[in-house]
Amino acid sequence: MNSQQDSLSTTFAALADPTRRAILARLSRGSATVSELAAPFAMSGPAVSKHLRVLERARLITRGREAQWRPCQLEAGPLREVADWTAAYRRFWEKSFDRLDGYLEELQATRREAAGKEKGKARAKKR
Amino acid sequence: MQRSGNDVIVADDELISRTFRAPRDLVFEVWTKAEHFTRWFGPHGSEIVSCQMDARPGGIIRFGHRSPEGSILHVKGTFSEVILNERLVFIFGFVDEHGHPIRHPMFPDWPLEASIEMVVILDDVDDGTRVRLAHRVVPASAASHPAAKRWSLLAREGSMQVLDRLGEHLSLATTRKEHAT
Repeated sequence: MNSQQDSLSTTFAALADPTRRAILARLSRGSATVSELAAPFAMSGPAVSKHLRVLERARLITRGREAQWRPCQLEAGPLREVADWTAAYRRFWEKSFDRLDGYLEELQATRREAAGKEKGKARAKKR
Repeated sequence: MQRSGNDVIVADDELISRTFRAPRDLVFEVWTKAEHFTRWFGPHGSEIVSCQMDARPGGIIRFGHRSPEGSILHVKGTFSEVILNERLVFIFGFVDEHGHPIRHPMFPDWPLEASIEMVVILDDVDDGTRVRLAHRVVPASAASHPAAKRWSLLAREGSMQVLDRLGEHLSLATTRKEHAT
């Protein structure tokens, strides 16, 4: 439990930065080199490399060994762990709201029916 | 009535928003009365136990949520703002079954002084009532704690959209891999 918690903390810390999330989003479309990753961010190669090191340490990406390009690619494991957790939290509220939707409908139907009966009674009395 | 200065939900704090085909006063009622709240809160198969709800400023909100898997999570807090048919703000923390504060069950380093503030805002829209829900860690001093920051990252909608898309991508990638092997 604790080591799992630690690895989640590392993953969270790495994900806390919007640039790093954008890098991951780019990598979800396929592997890329440092200069390809730097292009959209108006950021120097070394600045991007720094982010990549954080992502690598968090095991969110791996880097190829060949030549000087060392293309980066996304690593599924830790990211999916966090994504699952987040999805479960969101799903909790979505499912609650689904139930609320049904409950509100049910409640309105019951109240309409009760109001209808009241009217019916009133009419019956008049006759 | 004094408002706490968070009338506008900060996009980052928004958790969920949905429109219900029901009048605003009814939606307010199902959020603020225990007998209604226990009927819809939590996914199907969950159960709300010992629910106390006194929806007025300073009033108590307290309940236990038994998940479909059987684990119970107790929360306890107070309403800080209640504006009829419009707006609810309550602040809660996690407690044991006796009501003593405990750490957030998912974060072993959760600061005990931290609470979660929920803001519920109701608006009239064409076909019913829109409910917007926002949440954040309070007080501000606790919000900068590493565990609270992780909570924010985990629980916040805006910053997580990327992650969602990544999650989808990853499950696709895994499926492909499994097919390949």
